[in-house]
Amino acid sequence: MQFNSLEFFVFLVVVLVLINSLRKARYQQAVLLAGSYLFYYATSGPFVLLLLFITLVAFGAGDALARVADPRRRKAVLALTLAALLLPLAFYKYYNFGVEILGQLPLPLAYYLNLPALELLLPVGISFFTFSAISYVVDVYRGTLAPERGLSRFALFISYFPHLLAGPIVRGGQFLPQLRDRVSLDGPALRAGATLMLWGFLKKFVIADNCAPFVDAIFADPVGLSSPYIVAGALLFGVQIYCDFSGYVDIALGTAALVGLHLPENFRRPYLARSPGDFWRRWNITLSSFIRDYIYIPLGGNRRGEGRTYLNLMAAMLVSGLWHGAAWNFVVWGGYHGLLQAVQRFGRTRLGIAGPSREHGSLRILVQILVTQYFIFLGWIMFRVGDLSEMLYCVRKYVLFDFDFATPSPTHIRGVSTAIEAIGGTDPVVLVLGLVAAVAALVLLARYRRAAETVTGILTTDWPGRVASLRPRYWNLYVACAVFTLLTLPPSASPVFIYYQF
Amino acid sequence: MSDEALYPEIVGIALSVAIAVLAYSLVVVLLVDGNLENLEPETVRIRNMDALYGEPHDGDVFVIGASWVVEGVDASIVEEGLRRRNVTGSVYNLGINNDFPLSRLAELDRLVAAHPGTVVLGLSYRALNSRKKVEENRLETYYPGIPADERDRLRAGFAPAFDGAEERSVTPTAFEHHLEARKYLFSAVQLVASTTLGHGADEAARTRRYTANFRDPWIRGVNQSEDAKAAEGPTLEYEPVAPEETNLQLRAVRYTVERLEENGIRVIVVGMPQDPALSERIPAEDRRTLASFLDSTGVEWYDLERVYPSRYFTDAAGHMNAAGRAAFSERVAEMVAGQG
Repeated sequence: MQFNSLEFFVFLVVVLVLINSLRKARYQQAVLLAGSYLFYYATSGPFVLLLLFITLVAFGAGDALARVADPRRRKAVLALTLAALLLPLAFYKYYNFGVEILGQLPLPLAYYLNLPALELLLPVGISFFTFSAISYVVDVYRGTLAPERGLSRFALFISYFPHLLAGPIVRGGQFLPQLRDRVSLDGPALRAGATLMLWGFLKKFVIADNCAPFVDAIFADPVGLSSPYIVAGALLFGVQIYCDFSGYVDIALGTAALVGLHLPENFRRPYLARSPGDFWRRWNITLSSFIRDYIYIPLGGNRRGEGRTYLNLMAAMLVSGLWHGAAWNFVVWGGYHGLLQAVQRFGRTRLGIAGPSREHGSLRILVQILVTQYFIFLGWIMFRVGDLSEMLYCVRKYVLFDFDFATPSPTHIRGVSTAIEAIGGTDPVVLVLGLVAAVAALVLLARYRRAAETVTGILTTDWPGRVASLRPRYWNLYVACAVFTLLTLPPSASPVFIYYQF
Repeated sequence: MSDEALYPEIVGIALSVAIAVLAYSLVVVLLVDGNLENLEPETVRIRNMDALYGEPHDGDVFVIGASWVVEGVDASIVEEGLRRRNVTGSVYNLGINNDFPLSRLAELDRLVAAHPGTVVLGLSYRALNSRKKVEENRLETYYPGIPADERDRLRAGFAPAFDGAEERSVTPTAFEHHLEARKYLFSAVQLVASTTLGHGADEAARTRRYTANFRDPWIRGVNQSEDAKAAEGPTLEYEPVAPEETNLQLRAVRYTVERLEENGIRVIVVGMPQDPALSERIPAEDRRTLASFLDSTGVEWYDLERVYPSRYFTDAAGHMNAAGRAAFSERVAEMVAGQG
């Protein structure tokens, strides 16, 4: 059941009407729970049993941890629970990758095991609900969260349909307390939720889905393409994946907000990040904080010496890469981000290069953003191009820009070709002058405090929040314009959300 | 908050959505529906494929295939050529960009039901790549209205090629058809703008192209230079043609030929003309594979792969220009008239 399907809208309206007609919180939660399981069944069929399994294991573990006081037994309960929770994820997501790796190793073990590759269908959202369950169990083990006594409330926390398929990764401490009271559907909640949902739909179906054909065309067979095409592909993919994923999250947050429930923020203008570390505080925040709290810090974080800190950083980012998918390109992408963060740390601690600061002037901030984003978008190539030799080719073309605007694209990447060929056909003097003018404009913009503040204000404003607080007639105009745009501009075939596969 | 505070918001949303839908419908009616007949024939053809297959076509000629057919066959020239040879019937160029035999199976039943007199199947070596898959969205975009049992049969017989195809009804409703019209908006706006702003008819015609949103028109008005072709030729994706046992595309061709001939429809297979820059890359073994395969089907077939010189092609991929189209279309008329 896709968010943009008629089935989902009918489902959502029925759920909202039922909730609004019920007075007691537990009945409302029963409706939300039944609706969430129906939603997952409609999306993933029998894998709904896996969702139930994860829920029961985590709930049982929380209950057991509440009753067991002996530290060794608590540790054993935690270890067994984590194994049980991670087993399905490991099997469905990483089994074939493991077999592939084993097959490439010259080990007698691989020969004797002779494991076959299996045709496995990855249960949608497994990485998200498994991580939510893990965070709950670990928090209860650490004593930072009281175990939930009501199974239905707990099951709703794990399976609540807005965040079930592609996040954000919700933690018990954030969500369970919201279920103590009756949820309410009222005017402001409806307005806030609808605003955010439409915002997400626009990002996904108008921007991301219109970038997709170009990105697909460029990276379907990138070898032979010149640098302008590779850079255009990286830029467009960066826009696509941001609008796709943050669009999903906006829809999820908006859907939850309709009944006054709040899901955690997952994006905070990541393309304004001023360092690799800053990027990860802005991109997929719930995953980053999960990895920080449950992997990086338990490994020792930065408390066990410099060498160990680099190792921990690398390990955390490799896990982040592997979380995205069982493929070498995600490992490379994770390792690359680990390296970026290690370099950033080395520069700060050993070379005395100051990290981003509020005290910096606009020009310095601008340079920091541009340099950071250059490397972030280089990383998107590794994320997008699965074949390693093709990835290397693209990385080389991105880094060593060949200024070849003239060679026509062999794959007829319409639109992109036209733009690149137009640049190639322009007089080099005009191009250089244009470039100088653009840089000068940016510098001037950064130097003038008022202009810089205006631009910063535009870029950092919470636009959905502002729109939601508009006077009724203007808000209705927003709804009408958004729906009109959604009817008019999306391509005829919409790809599924990218993060469904993770 | 009370329900009273909720209902004004709901009424506001409902009214806003209604206004948006009305505005969209107006735009479609004024810009798209009103200009559809003026848009590129290919646009009309794709859009009206449902309607086309829904009507009887006894004696007509359907030419199917990929972009080589789209750009290489001028239906009016074929029709004119047939008339000169005293053969009646309308000719339809039903080429679809990026088509391949396997994807055509999805519309085979409806093609049979339309019962044309002749189906000309244009084949290119590059369309016989057995690794090509039928994308999920292709079923919906190009083949609306496939009956459920037909999809099941397709999946059963050609399951490996249908990875990712979802099991759901793709029969479009009238509203969905209306919604689909958005993909012609860009072309329609261009058409209206170019005629309103006083561009010449040629300019207007050149921009009348089916194009998804945010895409520029695909104009093949000018040939690539020979150097550019020589440079592009080696970069084109080319997969060796695997034998029928492991090549779903060839199995699809056999199945298509058999189904059409069983139903009394004449089939002509044409090895589509290719630019020499690509032909150089086709191994002799692939030519033997295709020839022996086509011989084994017993179908009437013609190999025109190396018949035309480079000046008839706009690019190394073998898309024909106006001169090539005229020459090849005349040849198609000869073949259909039985003088091939």
